[in-house]
Amino acid sequence: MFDSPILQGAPRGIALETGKRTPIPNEVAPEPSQVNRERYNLLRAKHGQNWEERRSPYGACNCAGLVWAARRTAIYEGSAWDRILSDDGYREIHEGSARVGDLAIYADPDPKVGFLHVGLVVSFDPVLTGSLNKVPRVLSKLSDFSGEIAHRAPDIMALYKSPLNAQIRYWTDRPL
Amino acid sequence: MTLEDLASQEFALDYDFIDAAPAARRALGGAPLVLWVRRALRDGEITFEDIRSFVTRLMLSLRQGEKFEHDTALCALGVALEPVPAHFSDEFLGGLANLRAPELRRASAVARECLRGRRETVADTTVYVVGAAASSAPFRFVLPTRGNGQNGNYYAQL
Repeated sequence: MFDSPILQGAPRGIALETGKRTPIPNEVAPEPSQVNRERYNLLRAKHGQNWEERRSPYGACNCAGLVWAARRTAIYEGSAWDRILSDDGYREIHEGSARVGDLAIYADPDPKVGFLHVGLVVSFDPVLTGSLNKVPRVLSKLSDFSGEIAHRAPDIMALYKSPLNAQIRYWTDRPL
Repeated sequence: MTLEDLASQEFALDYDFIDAAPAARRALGGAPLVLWVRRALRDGEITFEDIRSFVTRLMLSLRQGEKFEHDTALCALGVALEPVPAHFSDEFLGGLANLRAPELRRASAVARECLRGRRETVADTTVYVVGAAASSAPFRFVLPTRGNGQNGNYYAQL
């Protein structure tokens, strides 16, 4: 079943370290196929009425690679995300304390599932027109073959439906 | 439902965008189509050979340097086969888990997660004789689980 010569290939990574020089495992993701692109467009049509596309589908990175590796590679391992957060001095904050440049991390509290997604807070939208309550707007890449979109933080929760139990937490590397 | 549904746009749309392997495994574990595959195998509605032929057909669309468009279908089959105590499950999951090709990265990662889960819950092949010496009842053979010592989903009493 899995004997195609194509499958003998190996992933290519780049040199990537945390601020404390811990090596971070990574893989440069392949380019999306035409079918992948069509699927992403269907996803936008289904869920993305309020999404703003910054960049059409491309490979190379996933959400974590966009945030922590300048879009050059993908960081898939949850343990690597943990290491980056720890080594680079991130701390969890309340949503109300989030500022532009902080991170929105989507995760399932079950440690057997863990991280789902990460994005960068880029602005704040009023919850309702004229409202003083604001919701973070996040720049993220939904998968290693999707485009980049800016979306209200809760607007992608439909992708992580039951039995996943996705929750959004905010993290910052700003000093106390 | 049919195996072909695993390759549909509709099914892929629901699971393609869950990048992390542990999360994809959890999400697919609740997918009606995955549960149908398990049931259909148990009831003889489909066979392992049907799955083998289906996967062989899917693999024809594999292109070097491009993300495999049926990655989600392979992930789903891996999750469906995880608790099925058959040589085919080991062959499928082992074969997929051993790959390092970036085109199938997520399917391979999900297969590794499934193998981990399988080690924790599926019966191994050790046969224990329980209570035979102390009882006049017929020999009872139990296939115990490995890992945490709790009863798993699959056992046999002969």
